[in-house]
Amino acid sequence: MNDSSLLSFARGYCLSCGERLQTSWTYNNLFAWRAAHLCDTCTGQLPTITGPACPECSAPEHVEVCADCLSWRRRSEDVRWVKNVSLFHYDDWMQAWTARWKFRGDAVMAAAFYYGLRRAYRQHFRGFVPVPVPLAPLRMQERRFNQAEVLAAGLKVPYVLALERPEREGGKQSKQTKRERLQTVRGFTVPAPEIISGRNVLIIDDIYTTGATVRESAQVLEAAGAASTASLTLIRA
Amino acid sequence: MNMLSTWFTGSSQSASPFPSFSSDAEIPAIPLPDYTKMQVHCSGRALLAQEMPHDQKIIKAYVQAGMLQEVPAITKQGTLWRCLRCSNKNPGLFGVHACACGRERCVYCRECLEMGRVSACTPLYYWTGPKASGVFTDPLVWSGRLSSGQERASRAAAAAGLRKEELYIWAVCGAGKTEMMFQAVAEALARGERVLWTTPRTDVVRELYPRLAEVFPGVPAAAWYAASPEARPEARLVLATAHQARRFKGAFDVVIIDEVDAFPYVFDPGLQQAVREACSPHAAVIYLSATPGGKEQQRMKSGALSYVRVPRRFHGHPLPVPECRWAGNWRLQLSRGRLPPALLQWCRSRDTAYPLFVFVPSVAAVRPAVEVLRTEGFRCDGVHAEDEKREEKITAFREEQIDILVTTTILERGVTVPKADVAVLGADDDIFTESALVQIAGRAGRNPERPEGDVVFFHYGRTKAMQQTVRHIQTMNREEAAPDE
Repeated sequence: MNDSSLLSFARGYCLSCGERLQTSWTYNNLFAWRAAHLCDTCTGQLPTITGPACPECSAPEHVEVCADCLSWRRRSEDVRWVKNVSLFHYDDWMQAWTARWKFRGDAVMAAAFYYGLRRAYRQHFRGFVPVPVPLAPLRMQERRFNQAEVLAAGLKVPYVLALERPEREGGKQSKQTKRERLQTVRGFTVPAPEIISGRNVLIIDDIYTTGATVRESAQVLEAAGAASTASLTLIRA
Repeated sequence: MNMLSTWFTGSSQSASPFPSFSSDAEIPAIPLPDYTKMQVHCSGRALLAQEMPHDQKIIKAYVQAGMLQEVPAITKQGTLWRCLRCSNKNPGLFGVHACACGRERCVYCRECLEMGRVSACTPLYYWTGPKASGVFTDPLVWSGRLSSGQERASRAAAAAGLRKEELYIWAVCGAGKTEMMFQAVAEALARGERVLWTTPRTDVVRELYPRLAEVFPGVPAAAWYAASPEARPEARLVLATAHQARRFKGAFDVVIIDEVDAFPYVFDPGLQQAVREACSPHAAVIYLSATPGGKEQQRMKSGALSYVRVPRRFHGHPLPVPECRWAGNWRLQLSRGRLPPALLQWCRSRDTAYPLFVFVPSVAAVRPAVEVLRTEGFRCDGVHAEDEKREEKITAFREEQIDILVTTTILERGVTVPKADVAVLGADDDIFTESALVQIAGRAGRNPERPEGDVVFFHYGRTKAMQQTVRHIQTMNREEAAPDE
């Protein structure tokens, strides 16, 4: 599925606030034509990461590699890790956005960021194979869609569902503390390692908080033979 | 036949997608678990499996017994998808994604997402068994007296409720519309019918609910508005915003549509359809407003819509007639962070003991106006639709902790602050239509202790709407002076 089929539906309205879109005609959008998905007010409120950010995890306001990444380096078993790139910070606006997107289940809202994700992919990860982080089966039943897969679909590059996640006890990650997250073992498996062996793999997820999920999947993918691993996430909290 | 469809012009209704409700009291042949609770919970509603009090297994048993009907929530009609819960047919308000049900493209409705997501693979359940019932004899506990105009409207409403007819009550702002409805509601409840009181505005629902709960103490009542706490499903008297009325299907026998000409109800055929579907096909419909739209006025004149006109306020005093004052280029002044001198001078000269509403045409104008008025030494605050502290500010204004409340048109109707004066800054703006201005002018002089009250329109060129407003109010006052027909 590509984004044009996704967007054949939700057209003409701001994907975030539902306002009818009034395209303002500027030279910019006249010559570089792409359909707007957000209204001007919402575009103005986007917490885009600009300026200095950690080169390894996109954490905002770091010039050097941040402390989190240094501690990952010391512990790292994923030696062929490249970096994480994120598009946005996590602020109140983004929190409200995620709540509607993920927890209310408004999947198409992700299409507003497809252009940004594609651009980041081309700039940083050309040639990588996208692999969305899976959901546990029960959560998938409840939510009906995998938010990471919805993001991966927007890259317009064939993605591979290489990872699998078993059913686990324990609640949502968004309800856990940092320590709990780092200690949780998600138990990802790679059922068919031949698809990714020898290739550069790009892990796709919605949010990078402690990095625990992404790093664990990177480790599993490298063990299964990936040449290198990196991640592209929408939000860096 | 269907009285509602005559009023909701525009969309000729196709065959109803909803199952018909059998009114005969059939007793289920097979014993079903927890029957009364399910009946009360599901009666007259369209529910998702997760909104049910029981799990899938029990729901299945009910479906097999013919008590519940399982309907796919989103169906395709021709080339268009249609959401059965909110009647959304706008392709811009659907979404699609790869789904856990196995479909590559599973469609879901974005219009009613806040009420829990419905998609093509989730069924809705309708109660098709006997409806839950409840009879309340003499539910009304109210000792107030109606004025003669109110009395007339009250009797007409009660009669319309009994005969299941359509009635428009055209009563001036401050005529006491709520009290006129008490009799009709009480009689309907005594007949064992369910009553829906719906309005487009959340603020109106919140203001009405405690008043109704007080005069109908023994009746299970519920208020539904966006972000309202989960209300009791068994309620016989339901207050809901038009959006929330979508939760109900075929449930009500008497519907009161308050402020029927307000945004967004008049502009959204989907909402009108939702209210139509919430009540049974032969329900009585009573519309309340001070400012009927042109189409309705025409239908009243031609006799197609019966109506009662109440030109007199409940305290019997005339409506304050607005005064128009030249304010110069107020847009320019606002953009420079100033207010027109005419407005400031008027604010200073008036008796500050009385609270003052200042209506402005846009959200952007609220902040500069508040800032200027604060530097002038007034206790002043501003509200608009996205303001999270709206409730608190309005309460503070009522309690006279704030002298001047700057507001957008959200407070134009349904809000009562006794003894208030009203100013409109930029009354020539397009947003201030005749009905908006009449409603705004109606905020003043609502208290019998101070029935006058000033209404001033500050403008940069008189518009037709302003002139019509003045004429409208003068006509109403003249009618009032003449004895009742």
